[in-house]
Amino acid sequence: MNETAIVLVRSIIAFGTLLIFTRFLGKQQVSQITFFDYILGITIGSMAANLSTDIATDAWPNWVGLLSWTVMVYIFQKVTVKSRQASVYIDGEPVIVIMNGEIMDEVMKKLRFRLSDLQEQLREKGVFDINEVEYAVVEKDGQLSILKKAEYLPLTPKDINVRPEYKGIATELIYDGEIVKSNLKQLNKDEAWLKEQIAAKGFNEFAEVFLAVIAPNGSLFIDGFDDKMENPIDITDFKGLK
Amino acid sequence: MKEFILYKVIPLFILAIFICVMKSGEYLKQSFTEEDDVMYYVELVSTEIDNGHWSEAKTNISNVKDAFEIVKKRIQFSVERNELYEMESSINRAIGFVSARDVGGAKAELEEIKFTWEGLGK
Repeated sequence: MNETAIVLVRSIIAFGTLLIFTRFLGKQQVSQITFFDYILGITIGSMAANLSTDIATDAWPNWVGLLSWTVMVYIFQKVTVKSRQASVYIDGEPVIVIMNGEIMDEVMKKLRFRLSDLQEQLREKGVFDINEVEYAVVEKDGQLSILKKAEYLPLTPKDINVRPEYKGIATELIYDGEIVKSNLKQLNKDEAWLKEQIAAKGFNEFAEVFLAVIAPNGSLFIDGFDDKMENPIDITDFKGLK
Repeated sequence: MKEFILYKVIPLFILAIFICVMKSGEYLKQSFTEEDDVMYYVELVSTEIDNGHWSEAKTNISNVKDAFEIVKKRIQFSVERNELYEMESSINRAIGFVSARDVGGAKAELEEIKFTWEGLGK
């Protein structure tokens, strides 16, 4: 019995299965997962690990376990998307811990959320003076969202009646030396035009360009593979890399 | 159509291959040639012990071991490691009992081999 070959084959099965199953479960953001989702992730991961390396057990029961948990997570996702009540019941809901600048201590006790936790999360949000906070909400994933009092909010262009230019999303034209032809076509541009633009920045070939993006206002950002800096700033003090 | 192939057909095909690999043990333990027919040799050894043909039994219990070596390579990805060890241990003990011409021990081990074989890959 070749244990290396067995682990290799079972790892391929575990890896492939996990990849397919997680794609099937969709794109729920990791930062938005609830504590239960987190535990689910660990459990499914643990089953995949057993499937991969625990050769004392049959691969099949581990795989069926992986499938069962994935199906259950999928059903939960479907139910919570369809029913708001079910979503609140299963995933919980955001809770206000600072209301009109006042700490809701009874609510915090219920949540088992300590004052030090609140202070820590406020500091992480850049708030060092609790006086600045109008509202603070503990989200389903345990993260704190805050709304500062009006006098502490940053000034926006709207406050001073300025209408900023539309920004939008930039489009990649060259990525890692390769032209993104679909984007070029979408913008009604051709390779000859792109060649002109990179030539203006001193590049002769597309392959010399690491990244080229165009903003909705037409401004181009072009960066080559060769960093032409004469005196780059070196911030490391680790001698081993020098 | 392309999306259907990429996101439905290919993943399902890959999962089907994985399932086949994991569940292939029961099929792959069956004999495909004369040399890998484990149960045939086990029955043969059992009959030879009953008839007192110990030298033939000795030859055929070695054939059981050789046959299982062939089968083991095919089923190693779909069965428990401990089941393979149990089979190997039983075969080795049976070889010892046949060498010692111990009818009771040899017959017991042969039954153990049959029992483990039944559960292999299930």
